[in-house]
Amino acid sequence: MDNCILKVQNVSKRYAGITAVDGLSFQIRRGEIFALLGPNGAGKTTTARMLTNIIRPDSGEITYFLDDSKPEEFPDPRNIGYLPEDRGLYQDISVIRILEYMGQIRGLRENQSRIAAKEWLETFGLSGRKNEKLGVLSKGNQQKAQFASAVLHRPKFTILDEPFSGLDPLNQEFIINIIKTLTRDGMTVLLSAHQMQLVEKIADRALLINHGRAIISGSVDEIKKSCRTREKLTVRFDDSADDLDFERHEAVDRIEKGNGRAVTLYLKQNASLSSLLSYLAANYRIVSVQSEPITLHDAFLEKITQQDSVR
Amino acid sequence: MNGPIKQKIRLIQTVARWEFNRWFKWKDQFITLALSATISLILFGGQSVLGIFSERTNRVAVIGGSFIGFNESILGDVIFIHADSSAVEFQRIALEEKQIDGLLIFQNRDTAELFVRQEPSWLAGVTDQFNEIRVREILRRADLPAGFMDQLMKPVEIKVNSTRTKDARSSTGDKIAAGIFIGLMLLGVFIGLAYQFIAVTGEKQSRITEVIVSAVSPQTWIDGKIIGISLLSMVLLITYLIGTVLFVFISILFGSGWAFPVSFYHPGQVILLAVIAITGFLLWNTIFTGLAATINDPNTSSRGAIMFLPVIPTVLAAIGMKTPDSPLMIFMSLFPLTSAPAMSLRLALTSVSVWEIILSLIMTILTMLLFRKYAGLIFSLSILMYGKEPTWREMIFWLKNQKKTNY
Repeated sequence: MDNCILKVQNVSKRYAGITAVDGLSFQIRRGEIFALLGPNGAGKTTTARMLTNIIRPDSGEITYFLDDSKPEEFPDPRNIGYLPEDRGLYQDISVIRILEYMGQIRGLRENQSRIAAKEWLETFGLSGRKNEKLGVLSKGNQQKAQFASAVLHRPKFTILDEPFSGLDPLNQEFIINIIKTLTRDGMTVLLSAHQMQLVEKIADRALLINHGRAIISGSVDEIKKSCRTREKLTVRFDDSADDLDFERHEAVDRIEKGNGRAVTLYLKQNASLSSLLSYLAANYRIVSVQSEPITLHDAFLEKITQQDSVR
Repeated sequence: MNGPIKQKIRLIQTVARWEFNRWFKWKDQFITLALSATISLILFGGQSVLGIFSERTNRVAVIGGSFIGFNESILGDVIFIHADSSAVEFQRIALEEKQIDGLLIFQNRDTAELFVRQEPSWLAGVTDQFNEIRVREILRRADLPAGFMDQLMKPVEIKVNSTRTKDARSSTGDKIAAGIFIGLMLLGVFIGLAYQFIAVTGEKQSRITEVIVSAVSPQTWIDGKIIGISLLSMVLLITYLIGTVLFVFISILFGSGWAFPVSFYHPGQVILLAVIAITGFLLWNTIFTGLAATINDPNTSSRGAIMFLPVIPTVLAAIGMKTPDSPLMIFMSLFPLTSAPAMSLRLALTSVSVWEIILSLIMTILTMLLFRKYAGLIFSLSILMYGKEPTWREMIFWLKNQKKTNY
């Protein structure tokens, strides 16, 4: 792959007889936002810990190309940023001191760290509270401080594990914009999150894993195209309609019953929308129809369900 | 010095400074010193002030003091008023009316009668002096040759010459100094232990560890912690020491009669004792840092009892105090886990050869470096074990299979 910044080859990790990661391989391009997706226990955190050298893989290779030519197994921590899912900071210490310390252990000099900490606190609107103890801030503001501590030193590669958890929609949007700005400035991001609609908004490419194995990777569009379904049709029927079982129709992959008389029909990739609409119009009294392409969330559910049913 | 080593040292310094500053507060040190001074002031100053108000001299009338040659007017805190035998009744009335506290009548050289309103507390204090006065009077009347009586009353002078202590090493002051350093070392171990347990388990509980170990290696982190918290313990010890000096100094000002140990005539020995105490305390601090990483919650962990381990070598060393050159004491003064208290005591009680001191220090430092490595390994493996403490068996396995342990 051109312009590769991280190459993971056939990496495995076992804990006390349980395989957390099983022969995982993927590559990340310089400057992209790469989403690592999967259900709980899929192996995302273990992968992130191996990438940050907190734990070592049992087998396989992890190679960084942070400086264009030089491959590195253990990159300089100064070039890596990490926001772990299982995170916390010193609750009884002021926000500014914590950020200064985080910058320093990531290689910044004391004065550089102080300047960077002040800048980030300003970015997050926390300048006025810099001397307050972290523990007295709201959960959302603590999350912002956590985020700042991960990227304060402007690393080349950052792993953000659940960066949106605990944030309201406004702040989620705010973090999305910051991530986009950072990548525009040259940072590469590996993003793991459960908020699929947010991931879909910013991820250039994604890798879906389950039970420690890769299921599919590619751009969000490529992943969607690889699904059995391509579009979903939300149809609201008249109260008199009965027998809303459309799975018999050749265009429908599966259905999802909604509130009242609403039904969401997932259309197969090569299905004819007009034939389905004609069928519905001929047989039912329809109140409304809404068509939209499937989301990453839908693709995620389909792929995971599919893999679990095979297992 | 090459880049990575320089970077590592800088990181250790950063972590050490953080750990130190995290817990050290100037305000607390001033409060400690102010408290020491205030308590001493209240205890001894108060006692002194109360003494002024409650000071009362007992007044006792004496009749027939000439039988034993007693003509002094003050003995201890008792004022004696010598009276004639005709004044017995007058003095009895004076006693009844509380003008005097006692009436002492000598019937002859051998017997006397004391009249008091209640059992006197001052009697024991003056009886011995009456006896001495009586003996002197008897001897005086015996018409002995001049100077004989002085020779008779002169106490035996015993000059102590020890073959073992040419340089007066085992003076009481030296023993006290050794005791102080052992006590300080133990106090330092316990202070360090308390802070390490709070720091490490607190970070585990607050889920800080993963953020940190992604930036610095567990070994660097533990090195910084050991240095930072050891420095903190030493600074706190110095504060306590200054506080104690302040306490004693103020007590002396108010006439407590206390004194500072005079053993500090040998600065070389004091420095040596300090070095031994510091290395011993660093060794235990290193062990406890590794141990703290295995504990999730110090309030519920059964491993908390291990904190009393450093008491064992101290007690063993104290038991061996009477036989400082016994094979057991020599072994203990060389064995790293017991060397600090045992060597400190031996230095105070006997002559220890230089090679023993050097060997003991080298072994303690090497053991400390070994435990530092073990502590780093255990730390790196257990810091991410949230909610579960590694078993002893697991830890022994990790140590035995360091190269195979693929954490």
